[in-house]
Amino acid sequence: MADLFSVLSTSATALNAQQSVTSVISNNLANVDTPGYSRQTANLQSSSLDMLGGVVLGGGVTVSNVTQTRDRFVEAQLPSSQGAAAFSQAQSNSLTAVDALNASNSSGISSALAAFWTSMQSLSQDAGNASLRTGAVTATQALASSFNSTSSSLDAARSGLDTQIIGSLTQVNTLSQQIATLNTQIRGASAGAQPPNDLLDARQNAQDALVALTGAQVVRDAQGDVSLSLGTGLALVSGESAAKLSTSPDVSNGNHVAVFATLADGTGPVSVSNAAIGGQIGGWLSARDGALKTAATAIDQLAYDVARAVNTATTSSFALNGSAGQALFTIGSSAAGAAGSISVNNAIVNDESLLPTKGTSTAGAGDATGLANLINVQSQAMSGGQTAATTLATLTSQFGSETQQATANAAADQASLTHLTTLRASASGVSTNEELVNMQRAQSAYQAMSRVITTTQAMLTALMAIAP
Amino acid sequence: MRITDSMLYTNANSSIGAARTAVSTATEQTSSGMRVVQPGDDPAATASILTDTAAGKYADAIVKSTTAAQSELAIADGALGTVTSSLATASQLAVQFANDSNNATDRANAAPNVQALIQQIIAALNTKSGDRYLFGGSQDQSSPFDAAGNYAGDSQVRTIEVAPGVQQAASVRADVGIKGVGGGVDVIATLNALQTALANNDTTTIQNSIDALKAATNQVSLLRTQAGANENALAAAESVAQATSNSETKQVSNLQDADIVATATKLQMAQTALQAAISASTQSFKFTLLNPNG
Repeated sequence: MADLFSVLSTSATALNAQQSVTSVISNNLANVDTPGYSRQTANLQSSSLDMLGGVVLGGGVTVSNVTQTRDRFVEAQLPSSQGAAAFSQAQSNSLTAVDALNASNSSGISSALAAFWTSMQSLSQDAGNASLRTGAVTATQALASSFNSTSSSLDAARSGLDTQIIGSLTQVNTLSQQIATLNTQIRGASAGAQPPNDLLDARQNAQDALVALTGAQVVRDAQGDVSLSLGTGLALVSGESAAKLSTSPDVSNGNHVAVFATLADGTGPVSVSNAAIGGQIGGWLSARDGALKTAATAIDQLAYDVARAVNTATTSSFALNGSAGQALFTIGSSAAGAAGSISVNNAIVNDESLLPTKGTSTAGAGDATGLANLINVQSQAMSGGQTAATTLATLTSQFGSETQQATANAAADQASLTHLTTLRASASGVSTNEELVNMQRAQSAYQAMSRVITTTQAMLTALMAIAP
Repeated sequence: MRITDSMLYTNANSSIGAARTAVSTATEQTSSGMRVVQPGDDPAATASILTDTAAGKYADAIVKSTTAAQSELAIADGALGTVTSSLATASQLAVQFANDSNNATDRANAAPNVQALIQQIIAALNTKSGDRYLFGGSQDQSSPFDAAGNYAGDSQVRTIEVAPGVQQAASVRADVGIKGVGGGVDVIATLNALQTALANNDTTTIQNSIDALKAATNQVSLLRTQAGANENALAAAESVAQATSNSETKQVSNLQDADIVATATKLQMAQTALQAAISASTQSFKFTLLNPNG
């Protein structure tokens, strides 16, 4: 039969256990707003049994371990959702930030092109008029300038994404190395009885961040290590080692950066295709080399086509002084970079009488038959089979469609991520109310055990009093 | 479902954030009056806005050039009216002094009148619109007729585009209508002949000039008819272009501009939704054991 001292001993285990429970609750409440924190539970277990005189007596209670509450099913779905949401959000943000192609842009190509044709139309009505010629040359300069600024704006958007990509890769390398190190630490700590909860939280946080940046796929092995790999299977983190990503200017892509990887075993660097990278960086790459590049290339082609067609008209016409017509635009030999480099022939800028308007060298100043050929360019099909205005409308609409699609994807992906994040928060998050109830329960148990100790002490005192 | 604190705050952030975005969008549309700002707002409408705007501006350019051309043709018609009037006066003089009741002195005294008419006609034919001459063809920077009535212009008829690839004449040929190129009558030479005949008391030539002046008058009238026809054609083109411009402007407005009533309603709804989201979130924060009395 148990003696009174064993009762005190049992009570002591309960007080300790309830203190531990309160400590865990305290830790949970302290981390109620900590990102990635998973609530912990102190698991109580009754102590070994005492057999005294054929009677089984409890030995008190101990905290067997402190575990995290996680929903592995939800967590397995989260990485792809995080990657997709980050990808579409980055793509959407990158595209909606570009306003160079806005229909309402009064200094855009569309307005400048219309003003160019209008100025030529006005000039055709009075081809010898000096002020109208000045107006026509000014409108031509405005058109060239509009192509320049639109090209520059699109290129600046692409270069801005380069800067973001370069900055993020540093973060990717830090996180990859962090996860590899945590794999090592978690493996070592897991050898003990207590799960390394804080290390697991830290790795989950790093994993979430890395997945959001790269869209990497997560694989958990039997040892408890977490490995992450890019779309082509290239391992970012493999157990205890990590690859390192870097960038290098790509000459074939206007010197915009391409991504390379030095593998975990030190080999490389090897080229990493855009398609292999998801997440935020993938979204930036997609916007940079997708819609933005397509629009920039189409603007280049439009500038080249318009300049060539106009130059064909002006070089078959004659200036006011009867000299052979010069090319109105200065343009390169190919469409590549045409919008950025297009300019107006300096000779014509300096002397607008050289703007070719006459059909013959001997015609008078009022002859605008040469100019009529130039005006006809607005009805001519460009290389894509459409007029300049329609070509511009089509490319703008295509850019708008891709922006709209990216925005819609971002909303849908974000909704999906929010749903999964909510489910994870439901399973692993801390509820203040729940913790307060648990704390109340622990406190009640603690008070009950205190009462047991008080009563036992009274019994002992009474016992001592009857002793001789 | 187990509700945690982070869920409460995340949901509050998410719902209030979405409501705020809706309010911001509705406010932007209401204040700017525009439904489509970026291509992504409505890609199909953006394409139409660009092509319709371009078509509208092209139509505006046609309206502008046809209006100017009509104005010039009206000035040219007025000048030709002066020529016709002068020719009528010359014809009267020819009829009057072909009559035997006048003697040589009378005819010699009438000769300066014809000379004055010639100068009047030359002055009319050297009419300018702005800084250019209307009867010189493409040679519009200097007087097409000198004091002696010699023509320095050319045979070109100026044209302007009134529709894609469609040119409309915007001037008349003085070389044909005044100088008689192509088998017609040289109006000024005819008047010179009359003046010389009056000075020399050459009644035969005076008599002959009556028919010549009649032919000259018909010729100038034909020129005026051509000017009028061109003016009418340009007026018709202007009318079509103006209608096109109006139509394109309306179409762009339909596509680009926000429906103020609709956006104002949407703004009100968005504001109400935001208020509701804030209120609901605030309520949800109250239910905690930390504050058992609510």
